[in-house]
Amino acid sequence: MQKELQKLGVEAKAAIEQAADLAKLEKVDVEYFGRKDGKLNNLLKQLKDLSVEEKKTIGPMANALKAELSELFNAKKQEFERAAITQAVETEKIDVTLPGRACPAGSLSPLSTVQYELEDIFRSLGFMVLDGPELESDYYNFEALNIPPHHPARDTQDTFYVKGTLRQAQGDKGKKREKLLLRTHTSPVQVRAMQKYGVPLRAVAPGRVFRYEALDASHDNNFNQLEGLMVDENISIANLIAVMKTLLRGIFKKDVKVRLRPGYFPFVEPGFELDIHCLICGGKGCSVCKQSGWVELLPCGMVHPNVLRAGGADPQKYSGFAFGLGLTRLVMMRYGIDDIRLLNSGDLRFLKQF
Amino acid sequence: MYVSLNWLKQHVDLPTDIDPKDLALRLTMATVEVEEIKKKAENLDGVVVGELLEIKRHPNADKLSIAKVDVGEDKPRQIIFGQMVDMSPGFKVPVALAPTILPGNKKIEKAKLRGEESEGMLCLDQELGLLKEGVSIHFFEKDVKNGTPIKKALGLDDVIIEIDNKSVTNRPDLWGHYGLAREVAAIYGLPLKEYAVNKLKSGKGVSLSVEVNDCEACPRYMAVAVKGIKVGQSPEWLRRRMEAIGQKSINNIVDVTNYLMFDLGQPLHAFSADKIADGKIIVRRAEASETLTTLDGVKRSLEPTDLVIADKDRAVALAGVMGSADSEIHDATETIIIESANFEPATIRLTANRLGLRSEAAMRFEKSLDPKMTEMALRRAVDLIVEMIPGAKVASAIIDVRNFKQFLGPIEISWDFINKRIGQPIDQEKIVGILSGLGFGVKKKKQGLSVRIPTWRATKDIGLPEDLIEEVARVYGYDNIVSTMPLAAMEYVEENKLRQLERQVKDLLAIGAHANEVYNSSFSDAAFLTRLGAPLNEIELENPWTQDSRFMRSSLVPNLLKNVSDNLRFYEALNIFEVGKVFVDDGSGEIARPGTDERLPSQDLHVTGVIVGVAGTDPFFAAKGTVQKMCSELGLNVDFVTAENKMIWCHPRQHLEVVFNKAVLGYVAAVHPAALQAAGIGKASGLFDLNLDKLVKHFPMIKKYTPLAKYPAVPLDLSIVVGEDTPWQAIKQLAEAVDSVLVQSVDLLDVFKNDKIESGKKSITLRATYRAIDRTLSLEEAMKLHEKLAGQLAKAYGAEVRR
Repeated sequence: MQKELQKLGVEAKAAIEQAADLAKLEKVDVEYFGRKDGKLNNLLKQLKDLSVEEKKTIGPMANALKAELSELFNAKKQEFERAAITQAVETEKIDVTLPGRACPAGSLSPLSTVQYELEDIFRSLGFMVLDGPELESDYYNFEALNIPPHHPARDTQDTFYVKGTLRQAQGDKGKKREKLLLRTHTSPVQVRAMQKYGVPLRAVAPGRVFRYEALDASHDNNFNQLEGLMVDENISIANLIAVMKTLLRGIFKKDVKVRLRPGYFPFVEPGFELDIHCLICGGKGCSVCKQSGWVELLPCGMVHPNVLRAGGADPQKYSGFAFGLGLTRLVMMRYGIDDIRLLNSGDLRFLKQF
Repeated sequence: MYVSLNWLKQHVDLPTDIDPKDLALRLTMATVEVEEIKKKAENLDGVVVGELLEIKRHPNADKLSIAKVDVGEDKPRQIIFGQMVDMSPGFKVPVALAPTILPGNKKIEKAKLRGEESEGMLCLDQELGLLKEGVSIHFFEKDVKNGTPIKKALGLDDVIIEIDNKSVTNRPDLWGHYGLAREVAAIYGLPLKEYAVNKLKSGKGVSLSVEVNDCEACPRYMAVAVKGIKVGQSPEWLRRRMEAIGQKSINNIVDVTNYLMFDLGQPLHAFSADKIADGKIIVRRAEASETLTTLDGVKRSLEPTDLVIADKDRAVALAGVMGSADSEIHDATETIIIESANFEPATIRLTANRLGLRSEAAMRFEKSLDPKMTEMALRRAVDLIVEMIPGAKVASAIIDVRNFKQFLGPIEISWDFINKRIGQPIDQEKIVGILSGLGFGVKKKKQGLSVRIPTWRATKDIGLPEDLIEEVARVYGYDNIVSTMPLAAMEYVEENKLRQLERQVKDLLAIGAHANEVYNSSFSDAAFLTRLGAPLNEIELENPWTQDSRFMRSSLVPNLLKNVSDNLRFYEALNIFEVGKVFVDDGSGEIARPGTDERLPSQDLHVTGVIVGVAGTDPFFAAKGTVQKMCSELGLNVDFVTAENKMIWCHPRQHLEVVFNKAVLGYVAAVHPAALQAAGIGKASGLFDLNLDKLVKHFPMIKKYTPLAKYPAVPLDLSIVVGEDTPWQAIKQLAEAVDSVLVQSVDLLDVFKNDKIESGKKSITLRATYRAIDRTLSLEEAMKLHEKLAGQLAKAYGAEVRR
């Protein structure tokens, strides 16, 4: 029995070794390990006829042989399978330079994308994101912002007016009715926000504004701004500068060189124009910055006491800053868009690029 | 506004080697925006004044002449010239001395012209870059020395600084050279020269009187008559001042009044005294139907809001705006009346704007001029006229009708306030120095300063402590302030739900539904609306840029249809959307003015989309599917309800309202074929429109988790033939009602018509999924329900089961 086992072991090992391919190896499998008529099984079936003593020595021997052969067999089988895959892979050659399957792609307008980026920057600084009417009253667009009727600053804000005044309410005849207009800036939201939420307040309000002017590559009569306002105790010019610098770092992802110079807007005192180093020429002077090296980007200032009062805040106790970022202008700078009219054109050849 | 550097130097001793660029930068950083600096002349070093000594014909050329010219050198030069301008011996003209280079890089060499040598060129204005078009030449007066460099002789050594008018809207004091010189002096820390004038003494000859009928509109009116006038050309220095800032020299009197307007910022007006009846001036409001022909020759109809200067018979000037043609100085004028007045800004602005007459005077008066300035301007004007015209002298009393008060402070301001508002401490002496330099009267106190406002800054400009902060900070230099982030209490930031929804919707459509976002103008295209047959009842603008853009959109659809039409030239399929406000005059918007019940038109935010030509889908169902997906992503379980179509661009048979809890949020529809035709769209299109202001009331919806099923479902399909008008929704609802517990869902697999199906009918294949939540549902039980379902469909809709 022991000899037979050893003989079978040698035979089987040789058969496994010599199997030329997977089919032949499977034949070996059947021949030696088959349940019904496998040589090894047949031999093992005889174990039961042995004496207890013999079983003690032959049994483990037989098990060891079975394990050894099965390991050998599996190794050989794996070898063949791997070779088969390797071979198959070789035949599965395709033209990988063919284009990828087109996924339908939607797009957001770059105005939305940049607006959301700005919103996120301000949200991270604890600012609310607000909205306001685009068709406004003379009161909120001008008067509440310290621009009374006949103020010369109205000239700098070429305004679209709505025909007539607010509809005459019943039994309310003879009263002065409010003149309506298309807001010329997002600043009316300053007063609306203070009235609604009180102070202290931190808020931005992106939105559309309108100017009565001719359309050309750099002017549209519908465009977008982002208003910002912070009112609290002891807000200073130094604070304004710091927040503006932070904002610009958020937008341009790097420190941007800025300069602050006087600018006149009746709703701030003092008022500033914030210029940034021209990003096109790096401040050396080019046609974009009219050779000055600086680009006007961000009118801002300390909220005028009259505006705080209109918003219901006590100017003795509170101060604040406000700014109006040209969102459309920023989008044009960011993407190098040379014609503002594209942004409101609905031209998909342009919009699908974003 | 143009400012001459030489003129500024008249008022402040600037260093001779001052760099104009540095001056421009410092002005920009501390005061006003300088738009441009222009040197009056470049490349004129080789041009001098030369006197023509003799002229003869060129022997070999008919059209050329040869001149001997004294250019201040040892010997005269021989110069050949053409026939552009008549020349005679004794004339003094600009001469380019060869070799030199003129503006435009024109090289002048010594050369022989038809055998005769020419050692230079007589220069026309355009050859010197002084004139763009036309032919003219400068003739110099006898006393100009031959050989004088042209730059000096013409005052071309000047630098012109252009200031952005918008940036001086609030600074009436900067609308003249003297005021600007004061700023420059403060910035450079130099003293400003005193504005020297002589006292006015009354004279005799004219009985002048002034009556001001409207003291509010005219807070001050000064006038004086001067006799012995000889109207003529202004002296060289005055002409040069006018030319430097781009003003035409007119005559000595007009030039003096203009000079003072540009020097002090105070507009003056000179009347010819013979045109003022009885020497009596009346300042009054215009009468209805009164007319006046202004200096520019235009006859103007006046209104009672206009202020006029008049004599007893008629108006002789539009106050503060422009004089009249028939009272202006003429060649024979011997006596003039000079007006130096102050007018109320709103009155002037209203008249100037209505008549489109934004004259230099009107631009100044509307900024609120200092009434104190009238006196100084009048004195200086008389000084200049008397200086220029021998024999001229004051011929009347000095009239001064005044009705004004100025708030001159003092403003009390504490050191603490200054430091807190600027955000860093600034040296007290520095603050005092800055304010005094600008003309403020400063008294130092323990806690701060007591500041008196100079009259020229007291006209609406300065009145609050905040105004003084600006004065200190700007001259100190904004760039010298160290930035520090504000300290604020941490707070939970309330989300604006509409803003949040808007952003989510855009992402769902662009990223989730592969749609492209567009922005359109908020104006409707009236011509297009007419083509669509839409009623033109939208909110209308008073001053539209074009007639077609006179309405505010009440729907986003029309502009989107135009987008489709434009883009179909380049694309087969489109899926576009816009999020924007639409305007409806229903008085239900935000409050228009606190304390009143007036409300703005409503301005609801809509999301609207159009889908065209997406392969394999009917555009109506593409639109419906988009809304379904969007609403389900938002957690909003909406219903689609057939309803009467209200929009002209909706297909009447392919139209559904989108409803949530009985509130109509919007609609989906196929675009009406007539609208497609009007828009020039050759393909069927679907559209949807949702009102986000309405939707937001149900937002944010919190999605709820449904536990995973523990027991298997039994899906069973059923194919039936029903009448083609039987709506799927009815079948679905009925099927679901067969057993509200065990019928888990009823889905449409297929719907079709073909020649095997009886006409007027359609085949529908549905899948009903049965499931019990507490046990495994047996197939038999499910089959029973399925048969019941088929039976009910047969009963209700005559459905025949197809096998």
